[in-house]
Amino acid sequence: MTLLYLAWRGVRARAFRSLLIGILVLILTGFLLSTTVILWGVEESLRTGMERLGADLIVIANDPTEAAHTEVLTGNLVTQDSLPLESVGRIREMNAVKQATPQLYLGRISGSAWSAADELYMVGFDPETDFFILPWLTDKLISLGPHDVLGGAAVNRIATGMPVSFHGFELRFAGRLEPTGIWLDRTLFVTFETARRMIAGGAFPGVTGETATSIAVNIKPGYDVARTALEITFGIPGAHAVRLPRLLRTLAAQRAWLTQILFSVLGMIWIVAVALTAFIFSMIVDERRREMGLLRAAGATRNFIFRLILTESSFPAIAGGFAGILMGGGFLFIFRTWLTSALGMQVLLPSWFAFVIFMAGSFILSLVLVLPALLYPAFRASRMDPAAAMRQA
Amino acid sequence: MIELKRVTKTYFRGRGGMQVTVKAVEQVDATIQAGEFVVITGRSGCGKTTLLNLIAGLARPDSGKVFFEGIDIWAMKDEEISALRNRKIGLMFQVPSLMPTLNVLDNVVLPTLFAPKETRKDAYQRGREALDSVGLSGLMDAFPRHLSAGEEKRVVIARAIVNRPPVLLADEPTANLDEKTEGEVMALLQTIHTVGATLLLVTHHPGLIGYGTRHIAMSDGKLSEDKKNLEIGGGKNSAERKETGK
Repeated sequence: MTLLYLAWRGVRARAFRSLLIGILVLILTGFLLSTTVILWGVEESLRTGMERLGADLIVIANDPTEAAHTEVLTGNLVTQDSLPLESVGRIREMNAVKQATPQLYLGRISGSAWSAADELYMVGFDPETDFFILPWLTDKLISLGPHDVLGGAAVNRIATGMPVSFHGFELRFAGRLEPTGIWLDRTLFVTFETARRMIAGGAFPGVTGETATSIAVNIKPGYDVARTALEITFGIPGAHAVRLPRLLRTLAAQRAWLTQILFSVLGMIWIVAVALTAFIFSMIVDERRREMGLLRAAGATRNFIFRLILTESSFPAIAGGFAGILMGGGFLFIFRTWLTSALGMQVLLPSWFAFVIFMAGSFILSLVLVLPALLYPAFRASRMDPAAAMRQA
Repeated sequence: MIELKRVTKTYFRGRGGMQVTVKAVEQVDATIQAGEFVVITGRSGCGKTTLLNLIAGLARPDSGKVFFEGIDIWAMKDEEISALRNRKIGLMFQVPSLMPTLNVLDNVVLPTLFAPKETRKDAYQRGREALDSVGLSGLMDAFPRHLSAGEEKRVVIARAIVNRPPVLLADEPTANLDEKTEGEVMALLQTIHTVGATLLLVTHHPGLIGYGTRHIAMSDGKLSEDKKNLEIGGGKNSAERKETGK
């Protein structure tokens, strides 16, 4: 006979209530893990993606609104105006500019068979000047022909060399990019030449081939990025240069609602879980006053009673927590593509090692969060007057 | 062995303005010597159970002192008083007092859980011996809900003696039992007494007085009568005991 055995018998005798507590902790842990990983994933995908793109400035048409900034970062360029292609040349001529390359947003493709993502973007780019897209190619490309198309990492249901038919245009899937964590993953890229042919063929109504939706700019070492951004904004008609930190700040503000909602729900789950667990265990302790009195009469110390109730309540809490991290983890892996489209943001899942850390952290944190609910009934039980407990039971 | 010095215990019943003070035990002085079999009688509510709880260290007196082997038990720490209950006192309650989640054998070995340096094997061996001594070795795996009232009382006795304590406190051990079972339970207690244990038995049933070596009567929280050197009534049948009691 041990304390663990005694506690286990208690759990088994109250299987339904133990199950209820387990489910509460499961929900709490699962939600805690999902929330943390989603927020981390969104943050990380943006940070690493933008940092690794290598552009110091993104030049867009003269629209300084936050919505426009967000569109640049998410790739969802719905409201974007465009710049004349001459602007690229004028930017290149500036002393501070090392490289400048244009992109043209062509449109969206919904429900394609080439990707698990709900929606893909199609973008035209200039392979001659590009430093923004081609460095992400998984295999080195010898040349990009007029019928070739490149895909982001999420365009993963088609093999290289396979034909791609789009609005009557027969293209060839020429290569795939590495995961970037941003909108590039969900994009198909064609050359400006191909884009113009497709526009002329009526594939993208309303899009003009001699324009650029955005221009990625690299600044020479030793030049002031902020000053160059101002020079572009005020020196080139219709252009608005945005620095990377500002873009990220804008997006962080956009993301605040997600953080708020997720943590509000988490807070509510925590309150309900703690209140119900404390209530259920207080009820159990009240029902078992005689047992507590009996144990004290048999020689149990207050400390033993405290540990017994704490151990008994820990069994379903630990089991629930363990199931919670498994379910939360499973949810994230199964629904990660859906999450990206539902949240409108790329969610980058952490590495296996980091994920295990997240799981362990969520498990420990959820147990710490429900600890007040476990401590209170344990404390009450340990402080019961044994004679009164026997008499009042 | 046990000494009570001007012990008083008060309970409060009801709440707020309706609260009533009940003096369960009032200014009680008593000394119990080792080897005695004391039968404490009195009407329901006269303070018998409270007196037993005070001796067992389950209830703290409002005033006065309780000494066990010369030591004031309420001067002890919780660990010490728990150890005293575990090793020196075997308790039998009036109310059903078996753990419903444990089988009979586990219930019997329960006190060994709190005994230091007790190996699992030794504990269960003593548990089986205790059950054997009360004639229930065939019910080791049964759960309390499957036991009759008499069997339950005998399991409680087995549990009370498993740590071989020198003192046994029994609160109405024959309540709700038929005459035959009552006789069996009392015979068991008498056997335990004859092998050297000190017994304090609380009952409202005068027919049990004859089993003791001493009789204490209680009334309204006070000791109203204290007679020693009674003849031991072991072996008498139930009818004879009733007559003795009268």
